Amino acid sequence: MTLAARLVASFGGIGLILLAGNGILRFLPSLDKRPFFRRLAYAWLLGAAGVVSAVFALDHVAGSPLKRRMILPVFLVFAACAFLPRKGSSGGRAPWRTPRMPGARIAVAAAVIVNLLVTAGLLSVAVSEVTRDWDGQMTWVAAARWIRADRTVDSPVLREERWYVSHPQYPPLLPLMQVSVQETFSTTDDTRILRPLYATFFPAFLLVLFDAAERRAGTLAAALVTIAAATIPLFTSDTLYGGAGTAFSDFPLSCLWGTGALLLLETSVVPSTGIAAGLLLGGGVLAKNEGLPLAMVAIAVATLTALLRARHRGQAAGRAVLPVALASLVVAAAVALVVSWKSGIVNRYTVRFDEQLRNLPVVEETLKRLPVLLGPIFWQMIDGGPWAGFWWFSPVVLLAGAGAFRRRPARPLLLVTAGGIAVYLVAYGITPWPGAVLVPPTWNRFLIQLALPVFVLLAMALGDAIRRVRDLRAITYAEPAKVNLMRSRG
Amino acid sequence: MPRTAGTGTPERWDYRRVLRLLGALPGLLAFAASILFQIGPALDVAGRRLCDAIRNARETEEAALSRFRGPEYFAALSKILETIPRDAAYYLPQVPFGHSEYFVRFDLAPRRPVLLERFPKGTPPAGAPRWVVLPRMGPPGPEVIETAAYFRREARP
Repeated sequence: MTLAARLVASFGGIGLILLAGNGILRFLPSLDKRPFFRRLAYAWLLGAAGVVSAVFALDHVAGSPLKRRMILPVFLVFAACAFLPRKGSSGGRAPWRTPRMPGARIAVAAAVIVNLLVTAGLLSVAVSEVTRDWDGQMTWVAAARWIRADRTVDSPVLREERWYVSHPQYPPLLPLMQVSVQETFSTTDDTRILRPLYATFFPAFLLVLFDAAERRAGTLAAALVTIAAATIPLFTSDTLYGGAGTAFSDFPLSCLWGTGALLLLETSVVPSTGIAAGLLLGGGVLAKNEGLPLAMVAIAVATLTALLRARHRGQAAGRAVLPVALASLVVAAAVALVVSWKSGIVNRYTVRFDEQLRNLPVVEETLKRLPVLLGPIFWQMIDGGPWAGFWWFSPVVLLAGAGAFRRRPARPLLLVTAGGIAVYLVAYGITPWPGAVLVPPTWNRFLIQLALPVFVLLAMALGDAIRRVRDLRAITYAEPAKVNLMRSRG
Repeated sequence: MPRTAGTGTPERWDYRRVLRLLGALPGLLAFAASILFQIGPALDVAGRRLCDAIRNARETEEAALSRFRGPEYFAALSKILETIPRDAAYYLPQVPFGHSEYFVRFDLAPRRPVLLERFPKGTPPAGAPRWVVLPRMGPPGPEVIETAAYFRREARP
């Protein structure tokens, strides 16, 4: 394929998913009222989760073959909804305005420049280099090729025991997204066409991070934290495990699950936010095995938070948990779809965590393994290659701004992060791999999956530290007069 | 802390408050250091990626793969791709280290791999794939052999 044809297919595919996601947004007024660029991020994620899930269901449940004549109409129906008139706001915050503080304005401008440059670099490598990462070659892109060749997500190569396929039961949302674009634009198997699809999750991640952080920590802290996130080498890597430039499913899962969780844990959640969160969490379930336990953690924390908030505000509990209940229904549908899909596949050449979970005393095994894990986890986090010193400095920021974590909006984020870490520790506890052997290839990927809530917490700590230093300035310049006044009064 | 706490003398009240506020400074300094530490290399990588992309923009799929895998590997792979039809099956022996079979399997997909034990005995079973692909990442790259010939070769003492 020529360069022009490749670029048309790559960016046409991205545009199609964005437009279809915008169609979904029309039915979710709480997100549809957000500022334009943030809306683009939500549209991308909803398109990747919602529309590709619809293609998945049509193929697996209704048996429609994965051809352009089935895929394109699905995308176009959703895309047509984008031209419906926008509904009135039913929640959320007023549209974003230019921050009044010059510091915040400068930080936003710097964040835009840095994030644009880093994203441009990431997209450049995506359009010019073939797939080079381990799991992309071992699992995800290979699965996409078999799915496309057999025109079905129930490809015999995945299902039948005789074929040598690694992790055949890994959920196929991302391979299916690739196949949808390949079929729509009749492309070859050139991976340079597909890689920009994965890379597009990166700007979506940054925009969602800015949106969520700004709501909880202010514009200045939000802008600074997006710069920090954009400049971590692991996040933009196309070879390191789980980076946005790879075909690993960790970064997409991070965006889908993280955004779903952050939406559910906002201070004012309306039913349409719940449905959006459900679509995203469900997308996470269809994207990677970790998506299911992480979605359960998010729903559990959101239910608890909604009930406590209802009690605090004197609201009816039923009304408070309605958005979470709607999210749970959508997630349940995704779980049913993926369980049905997996049931036809002979599981092989993989680590069988489900069997381990059933057969082992989980808590006992996890606690027994825990002391062995801490050292390797520490070394992973202080490795300068993937993190560039991020974990050397961020604990100081988190400690300095720890006051923010005593406030109500931070508590569910702390809980959901702790829940995610507990899921990973259990996985390490029950894995048949000896000792801490599983830590080096997976821990950084787990941190990527938890990145959105973790970075929002970092923004809250940073925002708290910034506020306190501003107060210090107020004391320096304003307090002497007050102190003199108090002294004169005796 | 409220601005008019009314506890202790004004001097003591201000002293404690200033200390508490000063506690935030290490956090801000650490964050600034973190950004300064990360931003230069990140922008450098972005710039190099942009330049590489411009340089390789018109590269064909084959040239891009050859640049990544090496010319010997690519030449060997091309021969295998011509030999085995897209919808056919092939035997893929597992290698003890390096997992080169994953990468060869990926390059050959959607051809269907069947795992072959390392030292097969006797004759190929009925319905066996016609070819065996020996996965090798280094020169001279992967090799394709007729299954019957492979079994004969492996059976030799």
